[in-house]
Amino acid sequence: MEGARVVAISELLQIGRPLTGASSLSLRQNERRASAIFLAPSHKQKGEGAPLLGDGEPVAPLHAFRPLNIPAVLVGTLGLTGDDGSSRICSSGNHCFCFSDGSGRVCCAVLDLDMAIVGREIYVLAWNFVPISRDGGVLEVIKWSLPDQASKPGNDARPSVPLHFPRREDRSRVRSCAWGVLAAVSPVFSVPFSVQHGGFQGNARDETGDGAYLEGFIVELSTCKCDSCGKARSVKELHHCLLDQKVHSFDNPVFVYFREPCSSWRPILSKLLGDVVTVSGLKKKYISAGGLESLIFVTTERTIVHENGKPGDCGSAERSALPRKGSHVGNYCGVVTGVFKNGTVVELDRKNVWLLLAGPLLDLPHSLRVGAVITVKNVLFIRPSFPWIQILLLGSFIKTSIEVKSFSLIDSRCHSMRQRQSLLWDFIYSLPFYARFWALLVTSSFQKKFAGVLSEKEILGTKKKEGLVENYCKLSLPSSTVEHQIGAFEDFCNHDHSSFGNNSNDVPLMMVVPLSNFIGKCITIWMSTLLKMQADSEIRRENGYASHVFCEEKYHHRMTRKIMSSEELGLVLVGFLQVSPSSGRLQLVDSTGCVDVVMPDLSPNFDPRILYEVKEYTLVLDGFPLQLDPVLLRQSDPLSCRSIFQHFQVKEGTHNVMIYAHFNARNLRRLNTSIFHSVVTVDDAMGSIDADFYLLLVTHKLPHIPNFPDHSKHLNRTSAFAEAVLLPYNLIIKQKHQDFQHAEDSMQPRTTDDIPCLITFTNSTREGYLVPSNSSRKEKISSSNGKQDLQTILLEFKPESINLYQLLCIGQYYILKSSKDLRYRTEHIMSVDSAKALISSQSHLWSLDLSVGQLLLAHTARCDQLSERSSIENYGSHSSGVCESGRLFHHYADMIDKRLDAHLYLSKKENRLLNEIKLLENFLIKAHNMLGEVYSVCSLIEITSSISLPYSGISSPQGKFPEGKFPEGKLISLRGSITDVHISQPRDSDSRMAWSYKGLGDRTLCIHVCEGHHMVKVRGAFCKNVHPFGLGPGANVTFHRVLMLLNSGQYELVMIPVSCLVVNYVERLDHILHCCRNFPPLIRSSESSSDLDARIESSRMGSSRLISELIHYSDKTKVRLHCRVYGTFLLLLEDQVPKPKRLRPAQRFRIPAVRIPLAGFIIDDGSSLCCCWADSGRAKTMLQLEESACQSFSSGHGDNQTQVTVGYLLKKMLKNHRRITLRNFGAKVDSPLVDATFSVDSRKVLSPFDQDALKFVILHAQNGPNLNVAGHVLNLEELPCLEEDLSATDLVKKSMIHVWATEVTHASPLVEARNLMNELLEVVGMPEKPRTLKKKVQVRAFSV
Amino acid sequence: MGPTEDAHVKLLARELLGLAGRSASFCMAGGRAVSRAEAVGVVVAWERREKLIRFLLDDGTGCIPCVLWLNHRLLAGRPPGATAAPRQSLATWRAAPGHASRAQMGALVRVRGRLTAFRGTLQLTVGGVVAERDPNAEALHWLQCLRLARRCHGRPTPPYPINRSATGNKRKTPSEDG
Repeated sequence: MEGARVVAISELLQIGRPLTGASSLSLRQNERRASAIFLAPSHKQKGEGAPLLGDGEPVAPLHAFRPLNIPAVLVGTLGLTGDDGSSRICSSGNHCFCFSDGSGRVCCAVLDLDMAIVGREIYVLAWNFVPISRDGGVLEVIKWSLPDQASKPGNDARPSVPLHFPRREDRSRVRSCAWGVLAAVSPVFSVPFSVQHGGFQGNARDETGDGAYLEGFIVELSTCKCDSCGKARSVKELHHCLLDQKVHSFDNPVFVYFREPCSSWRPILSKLLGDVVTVSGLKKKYISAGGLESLIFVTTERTIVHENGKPGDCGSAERSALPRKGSHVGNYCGVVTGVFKNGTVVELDRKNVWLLLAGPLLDLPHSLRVGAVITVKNVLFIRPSFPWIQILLLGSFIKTSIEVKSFSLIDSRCHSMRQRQSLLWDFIYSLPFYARFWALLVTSSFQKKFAGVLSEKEILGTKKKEGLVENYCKLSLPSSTVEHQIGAFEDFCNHDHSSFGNNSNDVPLMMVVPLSNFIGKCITIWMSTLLKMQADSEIRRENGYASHVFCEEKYHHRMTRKIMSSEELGLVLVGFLQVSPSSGRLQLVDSTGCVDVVMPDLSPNFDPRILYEVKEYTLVLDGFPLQLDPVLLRQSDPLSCRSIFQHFQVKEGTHNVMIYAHFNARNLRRLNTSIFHSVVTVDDAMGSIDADFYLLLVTHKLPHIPNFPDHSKHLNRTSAFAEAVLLPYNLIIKQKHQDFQHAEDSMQPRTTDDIPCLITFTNSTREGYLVPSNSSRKEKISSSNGKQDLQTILLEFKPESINLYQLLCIGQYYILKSSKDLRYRTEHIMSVDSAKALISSQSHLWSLDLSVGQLLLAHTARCDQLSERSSIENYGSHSSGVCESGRLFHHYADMIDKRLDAHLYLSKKENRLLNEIKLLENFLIKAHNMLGEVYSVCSLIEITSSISLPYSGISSPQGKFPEGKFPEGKLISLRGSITDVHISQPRDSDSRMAWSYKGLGDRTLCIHVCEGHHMVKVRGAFCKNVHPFGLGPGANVTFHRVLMLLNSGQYELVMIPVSCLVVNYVERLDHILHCCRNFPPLIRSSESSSDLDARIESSRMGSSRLISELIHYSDKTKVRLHCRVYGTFLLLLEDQVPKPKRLRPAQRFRIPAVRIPLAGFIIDDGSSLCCCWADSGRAKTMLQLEESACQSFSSGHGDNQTQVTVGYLLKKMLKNHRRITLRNFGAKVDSPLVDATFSVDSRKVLSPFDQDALKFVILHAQNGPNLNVAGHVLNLEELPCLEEDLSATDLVKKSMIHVWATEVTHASPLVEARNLMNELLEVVGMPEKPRTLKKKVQVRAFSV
Repeated sequence: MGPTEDAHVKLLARELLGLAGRSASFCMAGGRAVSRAEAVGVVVAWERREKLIRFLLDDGTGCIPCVLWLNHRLLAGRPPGATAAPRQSLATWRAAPGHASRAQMGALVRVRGRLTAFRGTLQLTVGGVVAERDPNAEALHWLQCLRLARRCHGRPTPPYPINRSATGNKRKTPSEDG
């Protein structure tokens, strides 16, 4: 203590950084007086001495508290703001204590406040100082003492306020008193009032206007109306009465309005919450609030507040006085773990407990910061029904008070809740608590999402203009949510606050999160899915069937798909739509990140400036359960409120998951309506003059390869290519017609070759002509031989027009406006002379369909006709927007007819045109033939079995491909449903295909395509940037141009860089059903789920091995054998101490209490014999003990015959002998028990009858059914230890193979047969008879 | 004999009846020696003698003549004072009535036994009869025979339809028989 330096306030303000100091850390409460005496002389040396912070001390961060190395005290007066005539609020806008020492004045917070020190000089012995602004700060008093304890008021008297000196004697009468438990204290607020004669003299702030404002606050007292309290005539008697041992019932609310000048007393009264107080010197006044008049007490100049202690001190007073209106109003004490939005929301205890301080009148204590322990009194407990998170929301309202119980040293930021004057805040205050909290989250989210894209004013709005957040909240919240605000008096006196937090009847509020959080959540979901699968595998001890697929004699990681709906997630996507220039994929982007989206019905003319909201979507996570990155496992919850309020960044780690959202364009909602977006229609594009179009049929899309890993620096933006057939006709579109019928009548050809036609667009019909180009004229001339080829052109899509490429469909007609871009260049591409068309962002490409001769009655019929046809041609009507049952989503291909831009109609009315139309039809048929046939799985198998490739013999028998040459095969198209996708190890034969994988991916993908019970496998490089979304189990996919090769006598389907995969639709597959896809539906439905599960379990290991083949297997190899017991050469039986459990009577003898520590069997599967070792339950299953135990066994003959069950005999035997060992040397079927010896642990001998019973058991096992034995191969050293004089090889032949059984089950003939059938079919493979296919296309793939 | 020869080879009737050899030593076309066999089929003919039961097992490819000895019945029911039978024989023969009861007309059974010849005709001396409740067991047996033929016997099974053997080519149902 010696040498404690007195620090002046001015010094602290001058330093201007967080400081913490103490006179002595060992000071105890009872030493206060001594220290006070010691410190008194040094009082005069205030501000003198060595500087508080030495120059040589290391520089700490400015926001960190810096402890003073020297003992330091502050001496000054603790007062209330406004007492000395200064402003009634501090610089932060709070009503708080102040501390002044002559050199300066700062706000003050005191732990363990004694009312006696208010207005008096104190020594502050332990303190923190937090600067708020340049000339302000907060002094946090942790420990204090009075200079002279003797000067304290009389010990018998209870402390009271106001603390005017000298104290007056309270002569108030009881009728001007209010007494009871202090239940609630409101914040200080202002009310307008008109000055009447002799009325209030308020603090007139409105200098210009008619009215003045009166400042004050209300307290609620729960008073007692008992007889003894009623009999009190003076305040003194009242004190005695309250201190009396009588029971008081504090349950009548009384309100006291503390008006100026008593409004500065709020800090003291809030400290007295829960105490019994007496307020004397009051006046009764009528107030009118919310149309109701009520009588309240108002303070006067003579008002004095007396503290009467805690309710417990007042006899056995009941605690019912505490505010319990509504069951969910209460107090909460916790540690502040986060303060966000300028102190509007406070996280407590890191347990998803959130204190919402968003109220217009609330005071935020200066000391509320991270690390502080606070008690929130009179707070509403709300459980909001947010679908994405579960939190406890503490809603603060006008009665709420916050008391800081412990100051924090880990954070020094003071949060101020000023500057809330904007339309947004007014809107937020008008919401109920759950919606307020939600709106604050949305605000925070939007600020992050559009940082750098939109200005702060655009997001938050201003005092006059609504911002994006407010607009969005108003769109999302039901209109009934907004409540009208009521006055402070009415609010405070309202007894029912429960409605504030009630949102049970409302729709769940979905959350908009920054896309980085969204992606983080997706990765978290993916990781938890993998963990669950891993746990599932561990439960099943071996490879779980859910995550692995058996293919090519090995288990492979199966592609796993996780599908979630937006309702499950509870999240809304908000962002701008754009096509990623790097990946060429459609994305929803914001400032924090992007998420890939799949929109089958997207118009190519979307505006990237428009902000969209998507509420209904399907989130799909596709990937392989390859590894769990520990970095990602440690990631904090991306959807926690903390992550939304704070900056969240997805941790970088490998996750191998494709994340995308699927939705339709109608689910998009525009948020920024100010941007005018015009959709470019055909009409607009054509302009006023005649437009000339080319007619194309798209025959193939070359996959868009974003960039090559080796050349990523140079080729960031690459073009995409598609092949098309140019029909030898140009389409000239003429004037506009509104009426279809009229237009049809007016069709007149210009020349004899022109074919008049009508083109129907979305909102207009135009007349046009199909003008033959030169080539078709030639065709007409040489139609007899028909050798004229259609022109193939290559469409090159520049990166800016990549969205047009994405929407392109194979097999669809398009019209392309002729322009300079369509450059005819003779290039040798794909072995065909072709032209190249450059599609830029200015190009227009519209989908089209043609009809010849069918008269459309009216223009309006078009849409109906289109949708009708689409429902026939495609896989169900999409008009409702709901996919068929079980079908997850459609892709572009199946939605194309819904989005056709135009319809071309050719009339057959005029006979003279028939020839022209026939010629056109010939061209159309020819063009369609160039598309090639899309085979189904069945038809492909059928064709390969009957027709085969002319194999030109480039490949070598070793599977090595000569350098510089390419394999030859057929390019075919295949459509089927994918049942499994897995990554497989590249085979030897893949080495020659390595050219196709280079640069695209280092893994080989094996795709199982099924139709019914037929399956083919397609192999190819795995590159997640190239493969379309949705590729995975459950997808119906068309593989365009996959290479069919003949390799080692078997056909292979290989994806090459020109192969294009189109996902037609995706069906939702359940993992288990997915696994047992081979089961015929009848069997699946008739079997119980447990049977099914057991059979899946047995089938998951694939077909069984043959014992004769085990010799080739190394030790510890896991094998499964389908076998039966041939003989038993060793059996150890022990008496099992029965567990104390209740058995049903029928089970008593069926399951004998036998323990089998070890048993050795000889098993037979038809190919050979081997030894099988088993124990416990596995041995019992092999012995068929359960069945044999209930068999009857007879002894004696004729009249003396007795019958018992084998189970009973076994039990009796083991009771007598404890342990029985059976050894059977040279176990044979014909004489199975010739050399059997029995030994027992007891000194008795096993009777022949018992021996017969045991032999019966062994013989019974030999005639048992077939079993599935899973286990691993043992070598001779690993054989189980028997007695010293006996080894296992003495019992059996040394040449035998030994297997340790880990799992023994009864075999299911059906499952076994199916597995065996699959195995045999795989061996058989595709037929070997080669014949020629119709077409042969030589592939010259690009070497990448 | 080694473990391979001791095993009960799963055979179709057509293969079994085509085995070459005499007495207890038979071998398959691929050269594998066979002494014991296992077959699955339906009992289509049944004959009871004093010491044995003879029955025909039809597995769709042919009929296998089977014989199940019941000598133990005589021994077990011997008059008091007669020579005691060895205990292990007693134990073996206790199971025989069960086997006999399972070899019912029309029942789908799995039989295992030794290959023997009687008056120049191959037959299966049955050691055990297991009643198969699941009809898929028959299909499984066919597939297992196919696999064994491919992987163990050294020569693939000729393609079907097969040339049915002289011992019978059509499975009789119990109703037809009765």
